[in-house]
Amino acid sequence: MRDGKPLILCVDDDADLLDLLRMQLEKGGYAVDTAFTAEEGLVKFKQDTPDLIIVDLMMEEIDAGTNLVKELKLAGNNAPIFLLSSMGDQLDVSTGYRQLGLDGVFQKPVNAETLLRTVRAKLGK
Amino acid sequence: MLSLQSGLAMAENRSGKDFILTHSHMLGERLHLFARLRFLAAAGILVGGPFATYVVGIPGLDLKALAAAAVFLAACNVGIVLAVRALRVHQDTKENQRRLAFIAYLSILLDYLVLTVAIRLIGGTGSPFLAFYLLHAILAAILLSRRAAYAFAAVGYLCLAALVLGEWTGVIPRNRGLGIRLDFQLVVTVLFVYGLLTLVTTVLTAGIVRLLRENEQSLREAGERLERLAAMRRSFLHVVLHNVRSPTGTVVAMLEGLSGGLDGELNPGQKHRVDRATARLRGLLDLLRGLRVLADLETERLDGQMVAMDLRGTIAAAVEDHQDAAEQKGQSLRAELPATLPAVRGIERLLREALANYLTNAIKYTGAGGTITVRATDGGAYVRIEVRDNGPGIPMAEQGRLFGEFVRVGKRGGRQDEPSGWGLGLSIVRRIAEAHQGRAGVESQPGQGSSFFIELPASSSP
Repeated sequence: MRDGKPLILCVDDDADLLDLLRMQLEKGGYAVDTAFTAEEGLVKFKQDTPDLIIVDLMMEEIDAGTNLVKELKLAGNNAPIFLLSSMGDQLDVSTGYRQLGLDGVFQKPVNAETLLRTVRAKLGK
Repeated sequence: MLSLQSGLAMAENRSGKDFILTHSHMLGERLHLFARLRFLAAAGILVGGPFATYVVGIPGLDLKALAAAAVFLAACNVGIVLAVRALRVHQDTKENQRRLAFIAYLSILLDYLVLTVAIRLIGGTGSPFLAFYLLHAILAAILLSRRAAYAFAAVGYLCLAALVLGEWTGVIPRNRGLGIRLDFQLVVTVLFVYGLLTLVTTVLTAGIVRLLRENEQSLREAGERLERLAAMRRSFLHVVLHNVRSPTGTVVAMLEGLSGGLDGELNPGQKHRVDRATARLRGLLDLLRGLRVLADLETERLDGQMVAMDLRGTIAAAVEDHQDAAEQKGQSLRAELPATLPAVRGIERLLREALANYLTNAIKYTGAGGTITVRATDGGAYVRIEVRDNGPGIPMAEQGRLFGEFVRVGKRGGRQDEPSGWGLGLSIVRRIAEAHQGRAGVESQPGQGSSFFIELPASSSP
């Protein structure tokens, strides 16, 4: 929580998309923290303990998103994690999602209403 | 953003095999084939002796010695077969290649030994069976390297020469009942003719085999080059599509935010233009996504990714994905699923993509307030999924072309201001169905709606 609002950490290497996510989520009543790389995301996770995390599947490296999810689990994360994915990023992606224990996947481009509805349902606020 | 470097790293991982010397490649298979022929040769010696004695009437054959030679050959051959079977499982390892080559040398020496003994027993120098030395020279040229082939041809000729000279000088006792009279002229003639024939046969056979091996090697190298190029092309396409799609998706999201008033309300004209731009870009995204799926279907090995799955979950998820779009057009979209459904072997991501294409089309071409229903039924040997709408329907004449690539058939009741598609969606559905050994199709009549279906083989295991 930050200033009484649930804190959402968004990790994506696309600055424009990060900006947009921040605006949409802040308009929905959430506090938002952003990270441009997986490493930065892990640091911010440890600093801020977010209530929900959104991670881009494919950043500079092919496995950056899934690796970050594994690192977050190892670091003791209990917050729900959602992946941002473009359709067809990886063929074996559906089985990978189950193994990673994700809470859901947002297909890019993310629809603002879907985003806020899903986040509200997950956080209950 | 995905880098080309990481994409090419994927290509490297997918290519590259150990180089295998052509003459040693498949040596195990060839040895096994020749071992089976050797059993036939042993049987031939065993049966040939009594046949020649009692049917043809050739006198003086030592049937017991011939039988002993045949049994010896067969017994040695059993050992060869067992050794080759054990080694050819991993014949691409260098150690096993060496062992197989050693067995090849031993087996040819064995053949020469038994051949020489057998020829001695059935007439020696004058026997027409001397020609079998040439057969062994040919076999050596096929089985072994060029140098080894010449060496074994020389060994064969030495065996023949030792037999002829041994019989002529009396070192090797002759079977007097069979042989023709042995004099100097005959000895020289036999040694000259068989020497020349052995040389010519070996040179010709080894030459032809070398050409075949070189061709085979070139083909293999060309195949490997093509495989590497295909892997690079696949990765290049993957990276390009991803890197075009990713910013396009971001722009769509930004435009939707703009249209939704994220930075303040737009006037109706501005909102109209932003929405039109968004719709055009979404069309482009659809094309990029379709191209990616088609590229995957062309190049990926899909069998290994198929798992037994219950389609009801896939259908429910696909319907949920499209509820917003249907609601925006005031349409009713629902799934009618049975309590149980046989499992199918499939790739969930692809089947969901197929369903998404059907649903997108149904929503696009069905008018406001229309009804779209997704049903799954147990057809016994197959499972059928159908997406039924009460849209305008499709004339029979156009139905046959619908599932072709880049085929667009009229507006089919879609709004005139909607951007037209790329004509890829239904061909993707067809290709996905075919990749699952199933089929896709449509049943429709103008004015009575359409039913687009996929039938997939039911899996025996759940």
